[in-house]
Order: sequence, then C-alpha cells, then structure tokens
Amino acid sequence: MSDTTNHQRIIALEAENAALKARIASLEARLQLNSAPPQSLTHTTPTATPELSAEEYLRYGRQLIMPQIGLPGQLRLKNTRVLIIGIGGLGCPAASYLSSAGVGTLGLLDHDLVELSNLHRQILHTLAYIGRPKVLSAIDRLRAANPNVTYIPHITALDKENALEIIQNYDLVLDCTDHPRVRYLVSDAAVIAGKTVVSASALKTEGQLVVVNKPTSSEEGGRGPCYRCYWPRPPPTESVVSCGEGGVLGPVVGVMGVLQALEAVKIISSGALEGQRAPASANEAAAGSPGTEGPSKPEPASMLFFSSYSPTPFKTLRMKGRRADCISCGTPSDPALKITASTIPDYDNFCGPGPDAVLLDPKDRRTVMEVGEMIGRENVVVVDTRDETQFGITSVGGSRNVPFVLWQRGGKVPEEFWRAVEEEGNSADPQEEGEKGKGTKGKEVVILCRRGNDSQEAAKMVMEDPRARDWKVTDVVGGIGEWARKVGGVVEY
Amino acid sequence: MANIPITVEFSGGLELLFASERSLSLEVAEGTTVGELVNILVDKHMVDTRTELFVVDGTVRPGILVLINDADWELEGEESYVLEKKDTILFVSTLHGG
Ligand SMILES: [Zn+2]
Repeated sequence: MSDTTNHQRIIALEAENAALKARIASLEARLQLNSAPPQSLTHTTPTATPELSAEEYLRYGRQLIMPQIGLPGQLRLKNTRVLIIGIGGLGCPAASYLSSAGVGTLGLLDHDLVELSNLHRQILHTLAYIGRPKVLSAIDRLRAANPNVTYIPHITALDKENALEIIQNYDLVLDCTDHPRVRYLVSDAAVIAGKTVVSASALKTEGQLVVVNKPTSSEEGGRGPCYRCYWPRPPPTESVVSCGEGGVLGPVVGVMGVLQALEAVKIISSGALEGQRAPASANEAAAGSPGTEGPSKPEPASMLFFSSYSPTPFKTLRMKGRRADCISCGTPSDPALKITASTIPDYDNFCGPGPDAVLLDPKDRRTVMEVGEMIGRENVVVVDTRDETQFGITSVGGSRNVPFVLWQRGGKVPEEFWRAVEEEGNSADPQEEGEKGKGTKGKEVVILCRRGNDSQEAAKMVMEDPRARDWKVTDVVGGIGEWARKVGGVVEY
Repeated sequence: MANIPITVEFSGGLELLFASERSLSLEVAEGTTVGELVNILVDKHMVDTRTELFVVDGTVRPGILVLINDADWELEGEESYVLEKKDTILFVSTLHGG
C-alpha cells in the first residue's frame, strides 16, 4: 500500500473509532439520564453530585474562590454537558477555556481535517495533525491539559437529520460554525430541544456574539430570542463572505471564542440552565422557578459587537428580543410555518450555487498550463482582478492588477482596465473604433483571479463591451491557486 | 429648514459598498427619517452599483441590522424614526466566519 492509502486508512479507522466511542458515550449518558432521580428545582447545589477530588480543588482553586463560582458553581460546571459545534478559530479557544474550567463533558463536532492554513487562528491544532480530523487533534491537546473532562468526538457535519439527536444529549451549545446555513440549523434544533446556544462569528477585524434561546424571566415563554429573531431572514448568497475569501485575524476570532467560553461559564455557574426543559413546559419557567438563581433577573436582549480597529472596539447593541411571530420560537400567524422536529428546513436553499460558478463557455476558458506558455507574447495581456493586498503577496510576471471591486462598483468594465491593456500592448487603442486592425486584431486578454470565479464575471463584462470586440477574451480556470500548483513562479496562500 | 449633523457608520463588510469609509459625518435636513436617510445613502454615497447588496424592496436587505444610537431600529420605530442632532446610525451586516 502506498503512504497515501495507508494514511487515508488510518484516518478512516480513527473516525470509525471516534464514532463508536461517541455512540458509547451517548448511550451511557442516556442510561445515566434514565436512572438519575429527577432534579429538584429548589436546590441550588445539585444533590446527587460527586464532590470534587483533591486534585480538582487544587486545579480549579483560583476560580473556585471567586464568589461568582464557589463550590456550587464548580459543581455545576462539572455536571454540565457542553457541545461545541465547529472546532476552528472560535471553537479552539472556546474548547480550551471550557475544558480548563472543568466542564464535565465536552462534545466536539466538526467534519473537517486540519490544514496548514488553519493554524494561524485554530490554536489547538498542531503540525502532527495536518490531514487528520480537527476533533481528534483538539481532544488530544485538551486531554493533555485536563484529563478529568469526558470528551465526546462527533466527526460529522451537522445536518437536519442528526442535529436534534446530537443536541438533545447536551445542556448547552456553542455555535462556532462558519456558515449561516448551519447557524439557523443549530438555532432551530436548539429551540426544539430547549437548549441555550452561545453563538459567535468573526470575519476580518470584527466579531459578533449573541446568546440564543437563553432562559430569562423578561420574555414571555421564559426564553430569550432565537437566532431567527435576531436575523429573521437569511442574507443573500452573494453577501456571504467566508474567512477563506475575506480573511480573518487570529486574535479577533480568538477574542470571540474566549467570550463564548466566558458567556458559557457565566450561564452554567449561575445555575441558569437548571430546570431547563423542552418548550412544552417553558411556561412554567416563565412563572418563575423558585430557588434557582439563574433566570430570575430580567435581561434585555443584546448583541455584543467587536470592531477591533475601531476607537471604541466593544459595543453592546440593544436588540428587540423575541419576535412573537417567529417561525422557530414564536407563534407564526400561519401555524403551518412553525418549525418542528419533522419540518426543520433544508438549509441548502440558503447557500445557492456552490463556490465554483460557471459563467463562461468552456472555449473561453484557459488552463494555467496554456496561459503559462502564452506569457511574454506580445499580443497577450494578463489582467489580475484580485485586490491590491493579494496582488502584493504574489503575482504572475507582467500581469496587470485591476481589482474586482472596481468592476463591481461601476457594474461595467472599469477605465483602469482599458488603461492597463492599452499600456501593456501600446499598439492597440481600443477607443479608435473606426480604425481597427493595427495590432488590435489577434490580441488576447486573459483574466486571472484567486480561484477562477471573479475572473469569469470580469471576462464576461469585457466580452459584452463593444470596445473589446476584436479581442479574444479568456479567463483562467482555477486562478492563481491553480497556477501556483501547476505552473509555479507564484506562491499558494 | 435647518440642517442637523449626524454620523453614519458601516461595518461587517458594508463599508466596501461605500468606498471603504467606515464612518461618514453628514448634514441632513431637520425632520429627515431613517428611511429617507437610507435613500440618501444609496443615491449620494454608495459607490458600488449593486444597490441590492444594501437595499431590497425599498428597505435595507435581510442580513443588515440598523442601529440608532446602538439600539435596534425596531425599538425606535424603524424607518419612520426622525433623526435628531448627533445621532449615530450604524449599519451592521451578519458575519458568518468562525
Ligand atoms: Zn425566534
């Protein structure tokens, strides 16, 4: 067997092993749930809990002596099961702090494998785990620091088939995912299961945090707003930017992950989750649950907004709160719209076409190898539509930079493009419409971008412009990334 | 009618639609509503031609929150809110990365 097949086999076995372990843990948990006596709401200290070991008193001593935690808070942490969905830039720091703080059971869910480009922000992963599941990489590191915690790996993507079943086994959920589709799914499933979600996100230099479906006495039904209450309608596909496209600063997403852990510690140690029930009995909670300290203080809905380069980086935005007609947590005017366990929507509808759009006829697209050979020919101009920052990182020799934002701004071919082409092959003057010929004929303009998506849009605009009617206009399949892998001379990032 | 000074802020990537300006200091006519302000922004300040990334069906598109002095505009009467001197109107779009 080759090294690669061996490697793949190992990954498959690891995943299988992890899945079996998770199954055992989930069955054990259910067994425990079934045998445990119903918890009384009137006790602030859980009664049937084992005390802390001598090692644990020492280990958690520095937080234990804080009045906000104390022995009751530490025991609550120990008896709480937290699910972290997404073990990336948010999930890594969040998992670190929750594990260190002594949360009894941590479930980690992610289907991704560790990549080199993750390491600048996903601080649990190490080189040794590249190409292997993030969940296993994270558990390895977490266990090394705190073996007292029970770690449950879920090496799977969350979907509408498994969401409810997985979330039901936990007391609190951290949404550390990276796509709106999953965020709505997590919230919908959590509302049905009666669980609180600490949801955060980050991009570039900014982050947002909301607590979803939080036990509270200030809202009817005993619960705070769900994710849909904050963002009732999903954003259009073209406005969704991922960290891979938009970039993200490690400490920015790190701050958000740490804030999620902090919010989780506050919610758990205060006892707010005690008496947490599925929505059927939510009205009881609204009536007030004597004895628990948690959901008694009215708290207006808010969103934490972090803008790291702003002179005032932290803002707490005052939000409207629960929407009475919310299709997830409220009572929609049309009852048929209400989301239930069997009608969790198909979230694929949100994300529209995948990242590899095909706008151009295949005959108008070139491979990197073809263009690599054309470079340097007199009648060939390569125009790169990546932004200035990326162009500054690496570029094809002789190519001209006309950032895509200029194309989007005007909704037409920008002047900068015509100028660049003119300067490059100065024999051609596209504005002399009557006098074509003179080196204009036979000219080819090749448009290049990062992955081969923007370049198609730009090429299309040029093709549709009469000023370019005598040129051959093409774009490069796979963009600069493919160029780096196949032709060389530029770096992959 | 007199003009009043207000501040408009963009974040979550919306600044890219406004020539990468995160903050604008504007003067608007007294009595201008937030709804009218949105139109003024589209007509006079937006540089990107893809207006649908900011406004859909005459109001800000899904996925954008409007905050009037850090409070959700739904708490303040939404589009009908009448701007006051030194108000800060913040437009935030959903972030998804993680
Ligand atoms: Zn809701």
